[in-house]
Amino acid sequence: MAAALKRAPPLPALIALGVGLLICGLLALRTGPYQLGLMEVWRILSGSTEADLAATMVVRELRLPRLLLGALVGAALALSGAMLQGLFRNPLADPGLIGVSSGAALGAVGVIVLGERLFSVVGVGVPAGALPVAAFVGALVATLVIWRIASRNGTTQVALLLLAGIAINAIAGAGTGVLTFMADDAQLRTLTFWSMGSLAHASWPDLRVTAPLLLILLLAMPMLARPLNALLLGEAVAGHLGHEVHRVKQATVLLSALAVGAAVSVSGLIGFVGLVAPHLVRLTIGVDHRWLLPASALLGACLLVSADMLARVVVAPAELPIGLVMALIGGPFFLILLMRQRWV
Amino acid sequence: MSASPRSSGAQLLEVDSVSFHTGGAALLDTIGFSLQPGELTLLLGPNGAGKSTLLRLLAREQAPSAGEIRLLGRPLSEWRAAELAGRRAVMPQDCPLTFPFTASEVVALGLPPPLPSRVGRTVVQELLEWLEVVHLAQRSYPSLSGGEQQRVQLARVLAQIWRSPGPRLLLLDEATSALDPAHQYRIMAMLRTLARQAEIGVIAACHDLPLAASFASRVLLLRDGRLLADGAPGQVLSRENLAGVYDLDAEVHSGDRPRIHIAGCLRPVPDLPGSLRTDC
Repeated sequence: MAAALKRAPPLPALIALGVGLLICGLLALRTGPYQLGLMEVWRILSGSTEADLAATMVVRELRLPRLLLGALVGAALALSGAMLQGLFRNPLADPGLIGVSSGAALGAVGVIVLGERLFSVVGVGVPAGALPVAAFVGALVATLVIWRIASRNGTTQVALLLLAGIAINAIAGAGTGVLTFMADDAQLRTLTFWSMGSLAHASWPDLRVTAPLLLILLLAMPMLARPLNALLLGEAVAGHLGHEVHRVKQATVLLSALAVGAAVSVSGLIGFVGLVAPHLVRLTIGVDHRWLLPASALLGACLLVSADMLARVVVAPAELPIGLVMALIGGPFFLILLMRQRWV
Repeated sequence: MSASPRSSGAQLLEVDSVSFHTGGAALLDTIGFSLQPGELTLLLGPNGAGKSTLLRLLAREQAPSAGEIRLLGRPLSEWRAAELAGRRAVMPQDCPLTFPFTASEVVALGLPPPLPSRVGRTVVQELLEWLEVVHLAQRSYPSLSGGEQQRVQLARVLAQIWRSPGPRLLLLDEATSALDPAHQYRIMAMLRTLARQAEIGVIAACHDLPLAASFASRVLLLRDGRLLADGAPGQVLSRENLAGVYDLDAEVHSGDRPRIHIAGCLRPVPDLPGSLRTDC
């Protein structure tokens, strides 16, 4: 027990992760049923006229938006996980824990199953934005309900927050179950695919909505790094250190709820990123949020981009849901790490 | 920003008829005292006397129900959070940490944000050396013993006000109660040095009468939310006061540093109920 902690220096680790993300990205652009050379990918990206037209279409309209969406979703999930774990002072806390993911799921499933019936009352078809908006609203409602329950007299009790999260998860899960029960065969297929997570439908219009939001969240979150560090010592101590504890907690929950809601609305339920990425970062460079947050975001992006690449290759020309791939890679990897390393 | 403390001639801390009620019960009743930099003041009193409540009010975790607390002449409620953090530091009784920060990272958590990181590293190093925990710098904080954790926490708390100019306030809530006597005395001696050599006024809640007698420059004696005595250890730690506050039968060899021998309790301990007795 007397040994010093062995840790990688944070800045080189961060740079390595950035380079890793670039490599993953390039590989993701060339990989798929239609294999491309790296030079070909480069010609297409640089706008060269010598590039093959079909290849250009594949890269620009299919793989590039998918890559960007995967990276953004991965970063958002990992960052939300890291922040919530800091807020709860519990390395096992996950965005799913406070019920945000299941709230978003309930909203989205509601639109899939009931959307046609609801909108036919008004005499229109289901609008394209209905699903993301519903997922969004579901995430926000879940967060606000939990927040309302857990906040009393201007202070938030973390234990209450967690317990409320469990209740919301149960309620939203039951609601989703009822809707699944009501769904017809076609809806069930959409629903299943969606609930296992996928980036297959990524498109530029999708990105135009979610990318700016996710980018803003990604840039705003690291501003909470210092207060989150202090919060690890307890709320009273964070207050003594001069932080506005209540506002920090509020900002943390709202930002991570929005990020998770946005991520779930475009990619379905993808687990493990928010748990695995921050864990790996803590094991390698430590627990200081000033490094943990950006490194988790980069690692989350790498993880999801790589998992998506695998999802496209393993059973080609068919495609695995990325949520399954993440669980299959993330689960065992995480277990091995747990067995090899003590927390303390 | 604030009025210069020295030009106004204000005390470091003024507690002016402070009361605190909750749920109809008066936890503190018109407490009044003031504190200068350089004083090591020990706050004594039985469990439930109001020591922790008083420290919470002084730390601005809660506001008094009546009365006013002023830091450097300015009401505590008017200080901005970041400004206050540079003037007063608080060390809680225990500070559990689930994540494996290293000891030096824990100390660095106390550094005020505007401090350049190079200065910050120097401060952390100075404090680790002064508190004799430099050998623990790269160890994981949760793996340290209670005494080691406490010294690292003290370094963290001091890092917060270390480079602030002018008089500062340090509050400790039974911060040494879990330590072995060697560490208790060592830390208390360090606090005394700190108070004397930096412009820091210290208020520490404590249960150890001999410790208070040996180190305090001043003792505040609380009972049932009232301040019963306030003065040098030789005056406050008298046979009568210890009997009145703790119901203790103490022999006190009076002097500047009174020597206290506790002979027993004044109130007799009741016999066991008949059903539990086996001696008759």
